[in-house]
Amino acid sequence: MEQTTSANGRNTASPDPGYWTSVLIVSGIFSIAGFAINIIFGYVQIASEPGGTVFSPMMLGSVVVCLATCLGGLAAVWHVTRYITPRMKLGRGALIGFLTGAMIVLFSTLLNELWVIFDPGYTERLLDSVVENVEAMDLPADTQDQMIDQMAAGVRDTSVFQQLVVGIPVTGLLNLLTGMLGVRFFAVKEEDYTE
Amino acid sequence: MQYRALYFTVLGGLIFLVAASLGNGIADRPLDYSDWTYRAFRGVCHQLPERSFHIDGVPMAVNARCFGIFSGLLAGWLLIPVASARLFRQGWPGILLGCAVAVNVMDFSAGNLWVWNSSNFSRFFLGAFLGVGVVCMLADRFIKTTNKTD
Repeated sequence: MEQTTSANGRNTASPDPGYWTSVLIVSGIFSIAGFAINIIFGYVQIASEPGGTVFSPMMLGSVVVCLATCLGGLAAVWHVTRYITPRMKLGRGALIGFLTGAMIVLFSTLLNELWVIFDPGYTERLLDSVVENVEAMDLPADTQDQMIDQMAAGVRDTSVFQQLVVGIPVTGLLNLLTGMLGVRFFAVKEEDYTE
Repeated sequence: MQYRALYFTVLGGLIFLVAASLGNGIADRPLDYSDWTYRAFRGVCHQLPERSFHIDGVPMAVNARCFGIFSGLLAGWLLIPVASARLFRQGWPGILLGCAVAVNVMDFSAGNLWVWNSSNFSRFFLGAFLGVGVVCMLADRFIKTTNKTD
């Protein structure tokens, strides 16, 4: 591996495909954490009385998970710069971000599919609870119908392939952007190096 | 400009993001949450109809804040080729991004704690502020400086 020295005296190596380790570690952690949060908030939703609030436990869980999901690229770039090499070009950060987003979608989809095998009635009970909550809201009937349709579509069965095809582009792109932000925050500037 | 391929790839992605987030209303189609535009954003947005803009009576595929973020990202990204590197040299993009994150967190938290009730327009503009803030942090890497030695 080619060794270079930065202007601030740090010994570094040229980037290599070792970033896959960071992609897999970060996407694995984010997927498992996101899945766990969703499941916990899901069961809290099932156990709670319909309060008629817009932000139900399930909705709060999904907001937390969506925010965390978008920061996967940033975390993966941090991991690479911390444990593999502090030197990284913007394009490499973008690639790492995109791959992290794609892997998060893949792992999350598989974990959700596995949970349905473990607790087959979970989806149905969650949907019933969410519908009861929406019906308790002080909203016009057509808005309630739209919300119920939206939430039902969210838990309705779709194939793993479909979930990946529609999920990867958006999550991948958002993580691509946070991956570039990661380069900006954590990587040593290219001009700080003497080749 | 540096990283041309990356710039245009991201530009294409952002145009796709904004176009897809408009949902079925823009194509004069009825609301169907199982359509790909709505499914594509399910993992990153709560898609509550009452917190989304409507086109022709059909809610968009993302809520107002997410649409603001995507629009801010696209608007800022389009301006990168005409921006000057000197604009981004003083460290203010970091402050701008920090402020954008802070006001969005405050607005979201306050809205859910019933401290105040934001409108969809205020959510859109705060989201756009965040989108522009992200682009400002990245812009100087794309602008070629004359004194840089490659």
